[in-house]
Amino acid sequence: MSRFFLPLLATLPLAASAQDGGQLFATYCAACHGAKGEGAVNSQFPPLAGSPWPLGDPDRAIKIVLMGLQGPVEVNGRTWNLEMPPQGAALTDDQIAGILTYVRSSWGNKAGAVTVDRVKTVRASLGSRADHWTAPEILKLHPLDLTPPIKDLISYIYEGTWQECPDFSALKPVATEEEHNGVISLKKVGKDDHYGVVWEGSLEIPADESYEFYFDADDGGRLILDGKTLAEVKGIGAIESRAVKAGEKLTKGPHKIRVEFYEFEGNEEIRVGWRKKGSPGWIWLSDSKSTASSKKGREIPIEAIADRPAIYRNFIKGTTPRAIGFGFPGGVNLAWSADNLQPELVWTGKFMDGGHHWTDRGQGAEPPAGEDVVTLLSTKTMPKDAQFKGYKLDPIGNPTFAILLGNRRLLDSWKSGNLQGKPALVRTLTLVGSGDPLELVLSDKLPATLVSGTDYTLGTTTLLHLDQGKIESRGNSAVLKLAPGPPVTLTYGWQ
Amino acid sequence: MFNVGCSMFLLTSLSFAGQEEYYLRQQIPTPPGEIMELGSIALLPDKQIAVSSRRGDVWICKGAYDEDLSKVTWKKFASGLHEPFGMFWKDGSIFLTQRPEVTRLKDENGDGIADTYETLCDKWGINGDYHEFAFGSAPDKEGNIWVLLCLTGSVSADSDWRGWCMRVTPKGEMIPTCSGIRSPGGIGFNAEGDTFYTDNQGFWNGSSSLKWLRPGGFMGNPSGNKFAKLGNFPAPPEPANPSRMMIERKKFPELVPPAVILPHAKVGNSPSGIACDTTGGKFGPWAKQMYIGEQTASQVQRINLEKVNGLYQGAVFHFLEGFEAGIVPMRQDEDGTLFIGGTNRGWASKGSQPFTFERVRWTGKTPFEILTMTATSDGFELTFTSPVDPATAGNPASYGMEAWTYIYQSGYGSPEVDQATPKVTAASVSADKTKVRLKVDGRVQGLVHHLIANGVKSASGTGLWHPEGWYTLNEIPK
Repeated sequence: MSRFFLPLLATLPLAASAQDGGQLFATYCAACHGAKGEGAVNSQFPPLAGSPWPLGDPDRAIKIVLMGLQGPVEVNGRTWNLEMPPQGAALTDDQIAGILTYVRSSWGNKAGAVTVDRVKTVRASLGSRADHWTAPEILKLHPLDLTPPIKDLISYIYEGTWQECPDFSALKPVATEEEHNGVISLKKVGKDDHYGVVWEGSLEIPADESYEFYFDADDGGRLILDGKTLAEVKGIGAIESRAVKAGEKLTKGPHKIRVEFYEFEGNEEIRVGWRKKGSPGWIWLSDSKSTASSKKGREIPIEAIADRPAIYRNFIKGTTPRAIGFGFPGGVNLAWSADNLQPELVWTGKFMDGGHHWTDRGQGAEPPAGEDVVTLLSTKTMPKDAQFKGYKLDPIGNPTFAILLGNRRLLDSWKSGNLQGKPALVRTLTLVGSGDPLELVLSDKLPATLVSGTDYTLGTTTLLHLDQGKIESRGNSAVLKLAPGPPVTLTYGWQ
Repeated sequence: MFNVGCSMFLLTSLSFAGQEEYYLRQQIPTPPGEIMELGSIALLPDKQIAVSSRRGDVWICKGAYDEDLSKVTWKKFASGLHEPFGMFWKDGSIFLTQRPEVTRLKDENGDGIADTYETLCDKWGINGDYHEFAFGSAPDKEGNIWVLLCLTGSVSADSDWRGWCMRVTPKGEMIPTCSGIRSPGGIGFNAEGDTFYTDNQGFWNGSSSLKWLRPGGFMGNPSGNKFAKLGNFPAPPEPANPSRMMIERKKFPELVPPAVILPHAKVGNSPSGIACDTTGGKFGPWAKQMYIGEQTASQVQRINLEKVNGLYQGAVFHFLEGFEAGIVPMRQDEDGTLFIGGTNRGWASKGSQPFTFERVRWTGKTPFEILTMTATSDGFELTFTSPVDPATAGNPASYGMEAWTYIYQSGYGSPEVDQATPKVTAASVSADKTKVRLKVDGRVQGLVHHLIANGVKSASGTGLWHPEGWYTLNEIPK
């Protein structure tokens, strides 16, 4: 008779006294942090292996495990913005001590064990705190023990007026400092203009590999590795647009790094970074970092395509949560509030950038992407019983919003047009039903001033043309009396 | 004596190796360049499928049922919706639940693009918080859509009716139906038409679970209780803190205990979409069982439910895995095809892709599995998908069991507590060898009972594809 034995891999995690840190880690942490602490799913989650976060002062790690962490967090030069849920209510002190001891002694991590007593003490010290930590908050309490990016870093400061890189070897420095934090920084120079700095130190390369370097300077300089100039920014100019990337194959071990820099006048900045070829993020050797790459990835322009307006329903800054955005051809845009049942924002130029809401969890509201934003309305002006019935699109996608008012319907249509030769928004209002005219508030803060005939200005920048009728001013409000039956067309333009 | 110690990860890797024998999982190509982070899937007439993306688009796919998936075609039907979760087709229109409202979409002029975006119901509050999601069901027997309103920040209830489940009638009336919701991942009906949803581990939820939305019931999280007076609804319970579900249930009959607890980190981390198998055998023998999506581990679990003393309870088993991104929506068609949508944005998941659209079909080969696990007065009864080997299946030593529960508290999640050590003392195999009655000493009402049936072999000598089940013993039958 065959017997089916499964190797006895571990006892089931039952009683608190028999906790195996590695097993607990596998059960509760590995789903996100990876079976080997590498950050699961190709580092979609941050790593713990080789990270300074769980090392050093154990209180930092204990507090993060208890209360969770949200918002951007940088680990070894790369930023994540996810949410670590608090584990304090789900894990016992025993379990947390076991897990952290395991994490601090695995995969190359070397730090002391975490005791149950320490976890107990820290938990008690947090009292009734219920909020997640943010990285800046926890780092203020427990800064990371960071290995200096550049070993034995020394800075030499020179005085002079240069618009290109001088031959520093022929010059005498006015000051020299040991930079124990190993970071290239202009903060301690003490001057704004007419100076140069040379940094020298040792960069520890982890393995025989191809590497990439990032160099940028305002006004200019050079990056030299083992006596070879890898990157250069010449002349005078601003940061960002002249950044240079260079590749180099390097062997494992220490390499001499020398950075030359000069500042003529105006702004001053230097950015030096490196990474293994193909790595997603840069490891910064300077305190100034490029944010260009991360911002570009988040721009997702939403625009009208040919005749068809773009629709964006999301949290638009400056109006209510139930905002419905329409970006019309010709660069005229509208945010219509389905809470207040009225147009609230109009603007020209670009419609919206989806990059905010469509990256990570996309919290918050995104402002219009264009210019000349006009807030027509910001308070509820419709009758209390008004109900939103949605909208219909005409064959090219222009909307008509429908509002139920008792037994009547207000139809509010929008499309692009022209006013005095410039792109404008054309609004057609129809009150379906019978009875008294509706007092429609066109703006609750921009008074209407008659220019001539049926042309008005709303506030100072908006032009308003009516095809018929008139607009009344009531204090700061502009009101249109809309009779049931025939449509009234208003054209909103910009001066 | 058999060793019954086991490791979750070893079993997981064993089961994955066998999946293609029983279930074929295929990715369906999506429109090139489009970010198809799916939140909803709807079945349409003529073998068409509609999907909605988190970016607010609705696309219609043709050819998703055909052999050659490279020939599928897509047409964008609608855009500019605010994160829809829950969509279905009815009477020529597509209905969906999006963050601010329940909407009816229709193409009136026949150009293939929606021109009608009718607002059916927008009577709940949203304040700009990203976590105030709305998940909507397909219509129930009365034609009502059940809408779940996730808590603000998944913590509190800052806008009207957050934490509540509403039924929206075909006329657009909003009827408060259940309170106590925290953070839903999906909603669906069982074969009897009762409504269930998945609620995530977190505040007041010691572990994720499948919960029964019994009308008038309180699901456990009191953050939204204050809104009862907006609708003349009886005040929901304010449970003691910390406590236990068993204790608070006795005080508050409205408190509905989770039907099936999905033990945290063991079964999954973040349950999502629900599909009930009413195909009558086209996806395997799991008649009327429920499939539950899992967003973090990109898996599908299987649940068999029963009703004991008026409460739903049952067992969850691991089932399918290897999906390319975290599952959110699931839909099964009558022909057995199971469609899933996945996304990892903001809530990272296992898998090689940031988003996915897939289908799963049964190969026709039935795996050797525990078909059902039900409670008896003195133990559990197991039915199997094929005859067992009586020597192993009838030996109590082939079965291990442990039990625990979670603290019912305001904090985020809970450790496993109140551990018990029930023991299988007898196992009697039925004459046709498809049933085994286990006599278990030391069961405790209210605990999750974890069965480990490593020792059981089929009549042909194979082990169980998934030898573990987790049974939530809310009630013990007489």
